[in-house]
Amino acid sequence: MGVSANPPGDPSGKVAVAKLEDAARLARELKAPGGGAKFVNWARKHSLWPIPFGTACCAIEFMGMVGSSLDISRFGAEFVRFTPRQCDLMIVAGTIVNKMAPVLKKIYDQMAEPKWVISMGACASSGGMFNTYSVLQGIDRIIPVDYYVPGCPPRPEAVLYAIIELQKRISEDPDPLKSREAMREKWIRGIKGRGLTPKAKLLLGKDGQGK
Amino acid sequence: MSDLLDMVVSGLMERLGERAGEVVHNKMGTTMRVSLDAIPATLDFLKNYKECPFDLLSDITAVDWSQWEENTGLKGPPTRFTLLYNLYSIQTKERIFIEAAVSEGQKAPSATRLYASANWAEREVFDMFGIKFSGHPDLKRIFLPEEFEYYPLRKEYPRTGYDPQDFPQE
Ligand code: SF4
Repeated sequence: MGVSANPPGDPSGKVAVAKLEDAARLARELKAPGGGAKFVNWARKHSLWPIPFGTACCAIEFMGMVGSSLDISRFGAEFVRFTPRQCDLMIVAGTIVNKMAPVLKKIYDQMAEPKWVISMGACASSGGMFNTYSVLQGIDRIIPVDYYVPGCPPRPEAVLYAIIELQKRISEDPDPLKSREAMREKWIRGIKGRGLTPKAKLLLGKDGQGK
Repeated sequence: MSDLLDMVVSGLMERLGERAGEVVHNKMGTTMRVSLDAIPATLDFLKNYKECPFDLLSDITAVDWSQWEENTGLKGPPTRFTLLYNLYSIQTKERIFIEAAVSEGQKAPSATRLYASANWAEREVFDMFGIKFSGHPDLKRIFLPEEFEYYPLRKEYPRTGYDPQDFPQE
């Protein structure tokens, strides 16, 4: 067996060179003004840690997405964690009933800033087919949502698309903390315009700031 | 109806006397109407029937007849609710339904002393229909939040509830 300087699977060394060029470009960008934030964003978008809030059938589809054939980790959203303190992306997959709503709100509040939310499926986005007294008609009544993925359930590819779009947004965001705050303020103005029920007011806290 | 079930039913009729009502057979099985105050005696009799003990309380549920006449034009029962007990005998694989009429506000006797599983089943009936059970150890809502004010399986309750702000307006 001959010894090659190039890694296996890359006999011509093209991939290795491309990676090196990538690293060199990153280093150049780092030196430019604002490069530090760019680097942090680059790291952040490739290390999204999702927390699945799976309450119904959509969560089964979520499992398909995490499993090896579609594999969410290819996009740098590897670590599905079940504690909100370690996570920065919440994927709400399933029907949220009114009794569950305070729990969802509490878990969202426990996540560290900056945080993003993907609402997966018709139920989480709008109540779906459960237009009844017991189901929350869309989680955006209690927490701000960044991406809505339609479908009942959505294909895993659709959710992966949402994650990729989210990564694009993160990499272009100069100051995520500030833009998150602005987004939340906009959201709270929006739901106040809809008219809040006593129950929703209770969930949103005394100051009604949605924090 | 099997001979065994026949025997159970006639034994029960004898035991209850006046308090036993009619017996109905159909595709679903055998249903016996009894008066509400005879429920504990009936369940006790069925649970301890030697040849065919009905030892499994599969379910307790209820029917609200309040809009039956307007909607179907047929005559409904005189009381608002019907309580339905679904009993099964594991040994002999027999099933029997016991029906009792309950009017609004009337308390039904609890079956928790005979069947432990009646605890949650009765809480569900209370949660959905608002029928109260006397002698239940912990009668509170089981599915809906505690602060929920209505009983959603009552016919007058709108599907989306009384709080329209929670729903997008059509
Ligand atoms: S959107 Fe459809 S698949 Fe998803 S939780 Fe709702 S009913 Fe289930």
